[in-house]
Amino acid sequence: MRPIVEITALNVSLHRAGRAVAVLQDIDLTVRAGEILALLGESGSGKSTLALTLLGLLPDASRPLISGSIRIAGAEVVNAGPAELRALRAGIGVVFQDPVGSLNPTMNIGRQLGEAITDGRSPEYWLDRVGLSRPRERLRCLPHQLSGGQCQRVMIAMAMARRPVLIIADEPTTALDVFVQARILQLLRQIACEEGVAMLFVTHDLGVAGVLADRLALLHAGRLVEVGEVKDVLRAPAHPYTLSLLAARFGLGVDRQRQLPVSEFWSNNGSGGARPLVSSQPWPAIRGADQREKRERAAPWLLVMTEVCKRFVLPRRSLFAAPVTVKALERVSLRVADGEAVAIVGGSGSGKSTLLRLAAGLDQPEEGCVLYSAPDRPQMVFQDAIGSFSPWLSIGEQIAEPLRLLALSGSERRRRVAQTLARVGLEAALCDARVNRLSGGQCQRAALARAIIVPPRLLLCDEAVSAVDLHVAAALLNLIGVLRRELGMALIFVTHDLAAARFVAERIIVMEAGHIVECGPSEALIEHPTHAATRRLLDSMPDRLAL
Amino acid sequence: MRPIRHLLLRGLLAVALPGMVSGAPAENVLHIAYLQDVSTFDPDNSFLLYGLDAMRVIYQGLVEYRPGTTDLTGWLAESWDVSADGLTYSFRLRPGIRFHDGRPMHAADVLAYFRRRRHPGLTLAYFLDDVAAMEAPDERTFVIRLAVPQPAFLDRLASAWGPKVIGPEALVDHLGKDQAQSWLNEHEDGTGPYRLRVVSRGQAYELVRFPDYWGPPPFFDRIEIEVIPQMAQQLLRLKQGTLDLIQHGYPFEGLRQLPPTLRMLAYDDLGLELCFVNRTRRLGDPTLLRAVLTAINPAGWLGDAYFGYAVPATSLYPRAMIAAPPQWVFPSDVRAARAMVAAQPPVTLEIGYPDEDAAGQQIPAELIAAQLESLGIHANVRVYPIDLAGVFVNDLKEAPDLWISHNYPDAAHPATQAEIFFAGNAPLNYLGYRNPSVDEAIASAALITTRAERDERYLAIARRLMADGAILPLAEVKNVIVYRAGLSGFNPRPALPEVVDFETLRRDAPAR
Amino acid sequence: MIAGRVACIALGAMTVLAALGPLLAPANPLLRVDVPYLEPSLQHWLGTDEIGRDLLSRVLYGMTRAWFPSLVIIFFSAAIGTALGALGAAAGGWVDLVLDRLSELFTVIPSTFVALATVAAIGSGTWHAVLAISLVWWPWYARITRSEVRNVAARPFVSAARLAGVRPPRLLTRYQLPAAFPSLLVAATLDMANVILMLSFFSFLGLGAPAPAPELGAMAARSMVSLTTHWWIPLAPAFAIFVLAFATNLAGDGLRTAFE
Repeated sequence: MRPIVEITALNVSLHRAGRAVAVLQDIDLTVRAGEILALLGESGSGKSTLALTLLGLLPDASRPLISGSIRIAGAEVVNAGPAELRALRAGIGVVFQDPVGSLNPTMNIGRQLGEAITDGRSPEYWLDRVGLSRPRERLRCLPHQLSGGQCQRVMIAMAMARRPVLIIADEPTTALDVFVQARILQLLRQIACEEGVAMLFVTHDLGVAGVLADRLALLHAGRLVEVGEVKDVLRAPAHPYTLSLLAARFGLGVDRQRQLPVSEFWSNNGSGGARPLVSSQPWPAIRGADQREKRERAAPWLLVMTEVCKRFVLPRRSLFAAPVTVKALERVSLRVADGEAVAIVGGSGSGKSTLLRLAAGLDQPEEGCVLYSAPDRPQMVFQDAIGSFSPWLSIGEQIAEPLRLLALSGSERRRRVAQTLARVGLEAALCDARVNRLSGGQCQRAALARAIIVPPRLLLCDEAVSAVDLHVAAALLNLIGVLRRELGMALIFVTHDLAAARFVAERIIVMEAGHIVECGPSEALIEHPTHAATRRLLDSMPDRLAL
Repeated sequence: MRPIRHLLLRGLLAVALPGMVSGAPAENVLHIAYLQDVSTFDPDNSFLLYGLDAMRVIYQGLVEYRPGTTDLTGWLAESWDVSADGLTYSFRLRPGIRFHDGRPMHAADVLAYFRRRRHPGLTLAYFLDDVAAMEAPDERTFVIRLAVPQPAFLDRLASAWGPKVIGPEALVDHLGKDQAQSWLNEHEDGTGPYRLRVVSRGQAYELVRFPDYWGPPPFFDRIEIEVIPQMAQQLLRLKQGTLDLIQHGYPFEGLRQLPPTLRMLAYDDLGLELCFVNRTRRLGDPTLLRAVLTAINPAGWLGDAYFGYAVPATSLYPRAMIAAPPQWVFPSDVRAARAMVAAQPPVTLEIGYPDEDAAGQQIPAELIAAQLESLGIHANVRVYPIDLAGVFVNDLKEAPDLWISHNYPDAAHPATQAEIFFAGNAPLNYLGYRNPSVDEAIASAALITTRAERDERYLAIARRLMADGAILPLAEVKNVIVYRAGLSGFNPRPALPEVVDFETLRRDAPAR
Repeated sequence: MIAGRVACIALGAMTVLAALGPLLAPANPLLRVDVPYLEPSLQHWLGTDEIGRDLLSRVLYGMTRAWFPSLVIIFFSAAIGTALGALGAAAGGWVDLVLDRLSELFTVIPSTFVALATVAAIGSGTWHAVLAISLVWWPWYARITRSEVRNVAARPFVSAARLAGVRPPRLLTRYQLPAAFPSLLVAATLDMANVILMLSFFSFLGLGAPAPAPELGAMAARSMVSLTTHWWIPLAPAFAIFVLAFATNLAGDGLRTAFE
């Protein structure tokens, strides 16, 4: 049987800032019916461009140059006219990354689904099929009344209702909670098997690709560096990029005593030439270990949070509805010792970010108290790296802000900034750059620079590596570990990923629905979880083959 | 708003469907407009110009002027006698006169009205200041006795603002505490050929033919009056045909190119363009004043302002009042004037003109400003509400340096000009010229009955004022009526400013 | 890109023209140069007005007198509005409430009337009108600033700056206020057209500088009677107003496209 998708010798160039840039080069790919192909690549690799090219949706403003052939169910996509493209798209279902934004906010779910149905089945049938509870009620709901996961299920139903031959899913679970992600992945697997559609799953997450897909295609800088059955690729990768990727991932079994083996070369999306893998470096010694005992006698705990409560009042739905109060944190107590690394894990809505903001002093609790026994303020690194810098000031100026409180001359300030930039692995020339010239990884490093330029006693990280590619995340985890040991800082690391938590911290705290449900040393907690929430978290991690 | 749209619609139909033939003859309707609203329809209570033509056909006085002249003729009185000593005036009233409320007019009603006119709160009460006694010995005789002789008395009775008999519906039924002033703002009870209907105050009025009028019926069944403050809009309406005539204010340069559907009638009236001078400010300096007079000299700008429809004034009286050779010569040495100005510290003058008839004064005022500019004097030109102008005398330091206005006397007798503008306490002596010897001369001139001597006395007064630099004569401007072809019978009277005689107005050809 | 360039060129050209107006004018706008109502000719490019003054000179001077006062009004009202909006957004609480209600009040009351009333109180004249209009024009800018500053307060870099020890004044001026600048710039440019029209309206009513000063609105008003016979006399100043307003609108649109 012929494959549903046949891509032959595809080259795509887009015009950016007036120049033609080759985005995809020499792509050969096939997808069969009933098969899930994961298209894996980091940001900038061209995977989204490939998905758009398949749909014929490249923006005209970029004046795309396409050569080669793409056949979907036998029909040629390249250079097809508008009518042909429309006919083609009728047979393709698409699931995008932002489920709520992809739905029409003014029509209810039932109507939108009804518009997509081609085979005469009822909308209720499809909602039930995708596992949406209480489907009949949901028909009347508007998109904003459903959660992200529920909306994604609706998107999948809409994609399926057209009885397509191909489903293209572009990062469908990236914006979702880790629990919801697990269930959506299960649903996709189920659909592909039962309905016999071909599925092209675009993602940057190696773990997700590994558990979901039958075949794996790795894109790097517009070229396919590896294609094959998932088992084969993961067990015996051919290309150095794949090797580096596999080495950089941090599963639950990675060595905590050494840094992650990550090569800077690949994280900058360089191309051409094989480079040897960097072996994992040891950690530097923890500074100030001798001072610690003296401090511990004076004030054993650096941060003490006692029975803090934090509530938010949501805006009213209507004039007559009672205001809804959300209890973000309910009687939470936490202690962090000097120099200790603690991780807080939980699903979305568990309250971990709120707790962190209280620890930083950015918000005040309604009840309970927060005691911080150092003279300085804790510093924080945010999830949105680019958003944590003002676009109107240069990086260097913002990194130098903490220095303004010290009486330093201008040249002294510049020196310190250059020093700190070098420490976090950035070139000194970036000092005068604005944030729009930096990548996500570089921004996060700059954020770390700002946090440590006047070394705080406590560093807070709010999902600091969740939004970046694998290589960059690994390098950042290494950097955080190095910095905290060299500067003797305590660390609170908030994440949803138990593997990252285990790697970074000695102690893990598990939260759910505003409460702390479990707490203990990292290794022990992961091997023998006691609370159901912890077990759920463990179960929803995409199974990494390195187990 | 419905009545107005009603009016306009009827007006439009009247023009747009001339061939519409129905069984009954079509109504004859006249459409005119005012630039400002009528302040009141009380004939005893307002100085203003707008509404005088309507007033003339609603209310009537004892005597009036013959059309086109300053000769007196009977109106409500069919004849009169003046005693030898000039103190007693007896009027024989016409029979068969009815008020608009239906009641017949007798001498007793005339007496009641004249008594009301003398009420001190009324603006125009001063017309009857010298009256000692009045009586109505029988139904058709009315007698007035003056305290001192007043040769101008009959002219005053014939004035546009003179006494006009008001009927009992006002003076008996609605007398109230204010002598019926508030009722008469919007109602009337006259004897004239038209009745008033206030359609919408400030916007539209209607005059409807009074069927029981004692004289021959007028041509038009209805006269519709709209208040259209913008002359530009009146011009458009006239050209479209929804307005029948413009009594005053048609731009002079436009008269050169009238469209074929329009005609014009130019006539002399008693209006005089004058320049009043404020001697309490910079122009108290005679050398500066002399230089300024060079700029004011009408020879320098009259043609550009009036395009041949005006001549320089000869004295401070219109020629229809006193015909005389030029009594005043303006200095004309421009170079000397420039030198005089250059020798002074920088001067800025304020020129003012009234908002009533602003359109007519704006161009002369700005022309004078341009002339002053060419001498090196900067002048600002502002428009003032006419009421404010009346109180300039309270604070002359804040009043303008030059006041340009177009002025009408009460009547055709020169006493009515002098006593209003030149006397020390005159109401329209805008910039407060005070000279006791002039006041004396005015008082004595009022008693002279011989025409030639009287004229010479008044001219001497004028010469005095001009030599003192208090008031200067600028121009006598013809009044031009622009109207749709087919109208005739305007019968303008020089003593009645901008008044078209609706009683005799008619349309000969069908309106196109 | 192109839109932004066109915008800047348009604005620059207008400012240069307005600044050079008096120099480019062939005659003194207050002196008579010929008989009135002359048609446009080679000697007098726009002919003469009803007094006999050169119409082209009067229009050029009038453009200058419309442009720079408008700039002043925009500058002051934007400055007042930005300051009040930023103050309200930063202070929060009752200060914000009072300022917000104040700007609502000024928006609800027809600003024309307030400005007219102010001019009635302080006297008429170009700069009196400028002051009166500036006092009522600020609410729009206050609202833009307030909303942008509040929106940006939720962004992580503001929290990060707070943690880094940035003091509130510097936080407001260097971190939050710049968020408002693109919107404010576009608003100001689009607003120029409105201000020019408002100033012309004032001078049309006679509340600007007194005659014979060449003010475009007053020139148009006074010559309206000549519209059907000597149409260029009222149309030239009216067209000049249109050109100024159109140029600024073009610039505003261009800036908005450039920022998007």
